Amino acid sequence: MIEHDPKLNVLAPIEIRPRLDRLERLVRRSGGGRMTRAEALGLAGLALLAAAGCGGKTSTGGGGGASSSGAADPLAGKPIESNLVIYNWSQYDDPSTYKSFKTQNHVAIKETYYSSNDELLAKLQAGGTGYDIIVPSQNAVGELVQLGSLMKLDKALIPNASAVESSWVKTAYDPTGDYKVVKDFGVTMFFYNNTIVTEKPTTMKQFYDLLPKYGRVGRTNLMDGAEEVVPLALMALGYDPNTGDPAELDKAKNFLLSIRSGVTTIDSSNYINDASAGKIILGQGWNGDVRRIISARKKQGDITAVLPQDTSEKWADNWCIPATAPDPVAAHAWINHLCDPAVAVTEMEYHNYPIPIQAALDQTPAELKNDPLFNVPTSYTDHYKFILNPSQEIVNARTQIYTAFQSA
Amino acid sequence: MSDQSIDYDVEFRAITKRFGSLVAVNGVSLKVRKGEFLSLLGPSGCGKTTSLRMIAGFEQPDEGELLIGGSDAVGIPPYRRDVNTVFQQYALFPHMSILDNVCYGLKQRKVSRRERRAKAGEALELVQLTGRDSHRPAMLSGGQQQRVALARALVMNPRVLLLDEPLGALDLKLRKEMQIELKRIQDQVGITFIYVTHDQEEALSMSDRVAVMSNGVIEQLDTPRAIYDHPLTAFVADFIGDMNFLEGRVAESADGGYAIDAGEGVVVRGRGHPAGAAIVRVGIRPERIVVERGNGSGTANSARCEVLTKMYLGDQVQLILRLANGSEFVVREQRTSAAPAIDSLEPGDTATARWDEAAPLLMADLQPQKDGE
Amino acid sequence: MTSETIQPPKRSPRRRSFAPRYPGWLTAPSLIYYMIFFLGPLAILVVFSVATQAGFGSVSYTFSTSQFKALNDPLYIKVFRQTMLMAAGGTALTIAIGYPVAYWMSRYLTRYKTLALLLVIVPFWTSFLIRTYALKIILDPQGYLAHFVEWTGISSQFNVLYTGKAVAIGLAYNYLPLLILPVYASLERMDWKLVEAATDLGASPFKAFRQITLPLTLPGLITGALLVFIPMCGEYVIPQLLGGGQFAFVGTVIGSNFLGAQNWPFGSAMAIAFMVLLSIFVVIYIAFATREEQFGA
Repeated sequence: MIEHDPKLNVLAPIEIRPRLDRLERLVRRSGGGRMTRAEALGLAGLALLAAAGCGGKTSTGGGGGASSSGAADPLAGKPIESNLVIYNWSQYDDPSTYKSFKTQNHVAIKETYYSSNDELLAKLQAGGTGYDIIVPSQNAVGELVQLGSLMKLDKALIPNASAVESSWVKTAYDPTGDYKVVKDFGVTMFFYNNTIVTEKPTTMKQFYDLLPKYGRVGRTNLMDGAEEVVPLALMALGYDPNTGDPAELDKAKNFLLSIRSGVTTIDSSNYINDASAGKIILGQGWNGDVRRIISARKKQGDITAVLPQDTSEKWADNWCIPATAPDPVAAHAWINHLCDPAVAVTEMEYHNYPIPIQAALDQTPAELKNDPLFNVPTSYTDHYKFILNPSQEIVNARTQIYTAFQSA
Repeated sequence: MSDQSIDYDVEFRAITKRFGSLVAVNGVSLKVRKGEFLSLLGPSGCGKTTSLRMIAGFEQPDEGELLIGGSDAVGIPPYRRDVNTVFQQYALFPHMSILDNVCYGLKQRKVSRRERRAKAGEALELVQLTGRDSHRPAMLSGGQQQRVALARALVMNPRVLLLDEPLGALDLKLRKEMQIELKRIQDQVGITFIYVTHDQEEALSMSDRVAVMSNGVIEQLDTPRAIYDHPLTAFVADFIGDMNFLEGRVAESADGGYAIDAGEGVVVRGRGHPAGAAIVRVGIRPERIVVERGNGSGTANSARCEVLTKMYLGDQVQLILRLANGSEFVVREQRTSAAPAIDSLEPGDTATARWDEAAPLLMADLQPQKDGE
Repeated sequence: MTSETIQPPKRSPRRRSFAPRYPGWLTAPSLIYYMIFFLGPLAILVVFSVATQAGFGSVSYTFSTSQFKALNDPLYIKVFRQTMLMAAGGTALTIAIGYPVAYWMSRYLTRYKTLALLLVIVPFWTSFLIRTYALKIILDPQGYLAHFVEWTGISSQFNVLYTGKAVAIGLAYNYLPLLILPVYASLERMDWKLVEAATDLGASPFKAFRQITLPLTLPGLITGALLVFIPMCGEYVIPQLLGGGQFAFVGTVIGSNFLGAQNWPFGSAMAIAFMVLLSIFVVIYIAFATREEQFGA
């Protein structure tokens, strides 16, 4: 749980540690490649290499869901296993959730953590088995489905999942809705200092267009990573964020370069602190973070948060079960437990991200459920789009555009 | 006498230099004559190197005046002094060729390249080291490096050349050769040399004058011969050459002569005038003593003794004797003949040691001269 | 004495027979470790760099120079150049700060030398990231340093954070010990009599430093400069934190290709190409190192 601390920019290594962890995982959100401290030391990169090299896997391309157990109800009637192994982002679930699951099901839980979707993918591709539950973001789900690494969920074992809002069941990255249950979600929006920025931008395009003007006045910020910068620009131009059309990508590139001089920083991990201290006058942000910035600037009241009118990014983290899960029944029971509205309420109070279960949302405290920055209205999310990694070519093209943008 | 200072290249006026609580140089006065070869001689820690470094400008005196070429040098940095130094370990620039080393000083003076080369060539010729211009110092032997260091300083044609134990790192044979060489060069160029050494033989053989230093003061400043023959203090007497000491009560003193009773029938009769003291000390050089077999009479300047050891020093035979009063004497004799008389003596033999009246030197233990000219 | 002048330089022959000799195979464990954990990843990089992509995070092992050809693009040449320039700036700043510190430690400290050395290394004992965050606070335009600088009137607006200056400061700060240590070592080996000799011959202190001290400590300085320059080129945390993500270092681009795009072949090719480029600097360094041996210092 993160409350705002006005002294956020005062160095206190021990205290900020969980905060840093949290920031990192926020940063990873859309499958991005920002660094962690471990990576800063070259460890993760090495691990990645080692995993790739030692695994020696020549998994050439997505081979379709061959290994996913598509047979009807193979789990029906099976007894619940006594173990559950969760591979998760750190500090992403309320401790009471584990406790209640253990007492209800008599299952011993073992949890290990990762800090990026890439780490998760690398681990699974290198033959990492033994996990019952994983929590990939939307683009990673798409890749894992392609690779056939996910188990088709047995909905009969997850009765509570029927409460999940229908728009979050069949999603672009899981069109059949068979491989995941959405854990929580968020959107990318923007904010500005209303004492300086006098125009009242309402769309992402307007936001971008104001950058060259205000980049000279104060600090402006974009979310970093190729997978944020390029698709968001594509959306602002009215294109599909996941497009592979070279002409559209080229237009996005030129658009980005045209506003480059107005961008002071490209950063997803520190902007909360800086914006809370009033240092960013125009910037993008994820709704959970912007909520905290607004509350930090309550006294000054100088920050206006905008959920873009037309379109923007939405993202989701998802409960999935690897095809190789040793304890599939317990895994299903876990997902079912998390979809229990009572549990979902405590979870949301813990991590401050909405879970698309109306019954649970209704029970959240008023300051949460009435806050559009938390409970983002479906009128917005319905138009928002998931940023995915449709193909390696598109990802490469985005990375190249991003490099050009950065070095410009 | 400041009006005469111009006759002196370097002048110390009551200079004191301290390092923390240690007094390295204690109120030293010294005048170095133009064109002379002056040695500062003494054991390590006597203040000779500190004195040299003050002339060079690496150290500044705490008290007193320092004049170089008649003008005040206190506070003037080394690079603005008309003196140059030959360092003990040569201090050649390892990253430069021999020629560049020798040219270095001229380059600082902005002498033209052509002139630099010509002068460096002359200097290298002077020290007899030619044909190695492009070598690096590390490729030369110790003696050759020494020559380069000398050339590097001489090429500057300084008012005074300071040499800080320049031959210390060379072996004996080479050292002897270089001593002759240095003297030759000094005669040739006529520059004032101030030479620091702890090797008395080196100092005596090359110098016009020698300043013997001890504990930060000059004990005696004189020509090599005077220093050897008439040491003013026991320290000088002992430090320069070998000296046998006897101590005793003045038995008689008159007419420029005296007699001292050193006990057990050892009586020394000599020339001079013991200055009032009841107990005095005399020194006798080993080469001034003659040893004869047998029990001589216990008269003045003739003492009975026992031979303790015998050594061959090549050109000399050396005996260590114990006199009747217990004093130990060193005696040497040149092996001018195939079997000198001294050679017949063996350890354990009884003998008589004799010397003439001119041999005993009265040790005044005077305070060193304050105005050492 | 003329005979002495033509003697060849003396060299003491090496007397191996008196030194204990240990059998060479004793190094086998170290060599095996080295091969697996140092050369191994390098070999994997080389294999990746000539492979092609085949879907997410997988490669097909072929021999293809397409990755290297893709590198020959104005974009990446610009990234290389930008990186080298920033690293060169950082190295210059590191030298400007580190050399005087090393000089001071070597020449002016006697009793506290070891303590000073320790203090130089102490920052290495805390997390690199935390230190960089701390630097961010110091460089903050609303921080104390900014107030101080604006108060003194040195600059009316202290706006360093998220600029190339901040990156250079961060680079210099984080790599300073790597420069100080070799420079300090070379200064410790320096014979200060040579500087005395130079001033004795009429060189001012500045000239003596430039003509004697600097050339003689240059090998140490070059070692230090390379020790900082090379990792600076691969840096990607500092440009992100202190440059506000505005600077595309080679390390950043390799990182985003490896982690973001999972384009291992391209990331590897870039890494290899950059390694080759840096090797040129190492060759220069080795040339210097052999020159140092010639001095016999």
